[in-house]
Amino acid sequence: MTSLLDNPAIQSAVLPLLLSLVLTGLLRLVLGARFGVRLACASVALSFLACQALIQAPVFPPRSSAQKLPYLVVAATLQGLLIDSLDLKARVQQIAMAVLALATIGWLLGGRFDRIDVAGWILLPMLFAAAMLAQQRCNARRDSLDGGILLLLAGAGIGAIALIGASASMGQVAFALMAAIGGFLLWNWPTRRFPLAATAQLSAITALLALGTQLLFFTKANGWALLLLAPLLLVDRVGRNNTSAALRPVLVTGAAVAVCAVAVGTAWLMVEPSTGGY
Amino acid sequence: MNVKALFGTGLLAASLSTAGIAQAAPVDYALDMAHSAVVFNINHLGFSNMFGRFDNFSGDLKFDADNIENSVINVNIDTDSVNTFHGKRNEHLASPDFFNAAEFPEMTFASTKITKTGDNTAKLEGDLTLLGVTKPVTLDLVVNGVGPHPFNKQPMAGFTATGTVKRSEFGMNYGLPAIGDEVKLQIDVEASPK
Repeated sequence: MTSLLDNPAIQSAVLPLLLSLVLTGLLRLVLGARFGVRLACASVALSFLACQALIQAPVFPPRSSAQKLPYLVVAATLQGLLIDSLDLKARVQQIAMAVLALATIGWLLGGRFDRIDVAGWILLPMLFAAAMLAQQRCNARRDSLDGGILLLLAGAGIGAIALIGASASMGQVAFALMAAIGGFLLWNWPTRRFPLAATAQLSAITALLALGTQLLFFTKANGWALLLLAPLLLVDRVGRNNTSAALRPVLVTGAAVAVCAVAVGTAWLMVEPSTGGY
Repeated sequence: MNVKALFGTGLLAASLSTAGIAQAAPVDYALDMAHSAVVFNINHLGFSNMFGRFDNFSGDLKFDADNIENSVINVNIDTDSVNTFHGKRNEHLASPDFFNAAEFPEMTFASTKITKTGDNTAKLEGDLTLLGVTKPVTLDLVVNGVGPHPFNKQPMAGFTATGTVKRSEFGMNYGLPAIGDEVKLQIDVEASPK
């Protein structure tokens, strides 16, 4: 007998959105004005991890790359909580992101480095650079919605590309992250209340990096389509002279959606859907 | 009883006891891949049972025709060769959602014990390794026949092993419970001495 929680739409959209929405407010309420504002974004990681556990129950010890993902996100969340609690400098967050990115790639691909071909060795530094650039952009614009929009649409793009050519479960995980970020962002539009601090940045980027690595190295996902998501890292440049708190996020979102549409459309055209319709 | 008789009795007893050991030695058999198969059956949404097979596998068989309990079988299955006669579904089954063939290219079965239960039946116990997880499984073994090939007269043997495993025990959780947890396995083998 199936329950509501077995429904993929609930697992990867409704539940993470609602959980994130509730947890954001709850964290602010419980932790007070000082810590609550800084740590409210932990709702993204917490709701994502909860829903990820529904999609695929945690396994210890983890064997596959998908089973390793929640442990990586937990590590990123703990680092982020430490950085935000102590209000550490941006440089520390950068170093933390670099360590997490290397750990993610190393753990997922560990033992297979001798089997990686030339194309793979070109992709690895690109993945690392994308993670570092994403963190840099998110931190530079942490007092706006730009970083959250970037990460949300990156989740959407990766999820759609995973569904089209690779793995429905990975698609679900990516959409769950997208919904978790969305729940947090709803608190910040049109009035900005909470920054997208280190906890959310590190956990979300680590999850996206892990998913991207899995897609590129362990599935038949379209690498070109994933590459076409790279311009998302520059969407915060759109309308940068527009300081309207309500309008600017709309412009940035529009640009990000356009980038996503091109990437997903490319994946659709180049690879036949393999995980649905049968 | 005199010494001569005693000696003769001892010799007879020794020859009888060693005769059983000499005949009980397992012999290496080669699998006839054209007449061997690994198939499975799983429930889909409660409406149908879907069949599939693995196109590529290999194995080692040491068979003792006189005492099957001395026999050993190992089977290595290429998970990327999963075939349900539907291209898109085959791709999905090989993906990280199910067999994750890119990370776990092989599924293996290694027998640990065979217990005779009847004239041509036995319990085949062994370790099944799937998605990096090893679990003991017990299959019902039937010795279909042991004897000469009807045309070329070469000795051969045929077996069928059946059983049910829960895929969730190996970490294959995607689609539960809509796609069944219990998977019925059948391994059919035809083999002849190397």
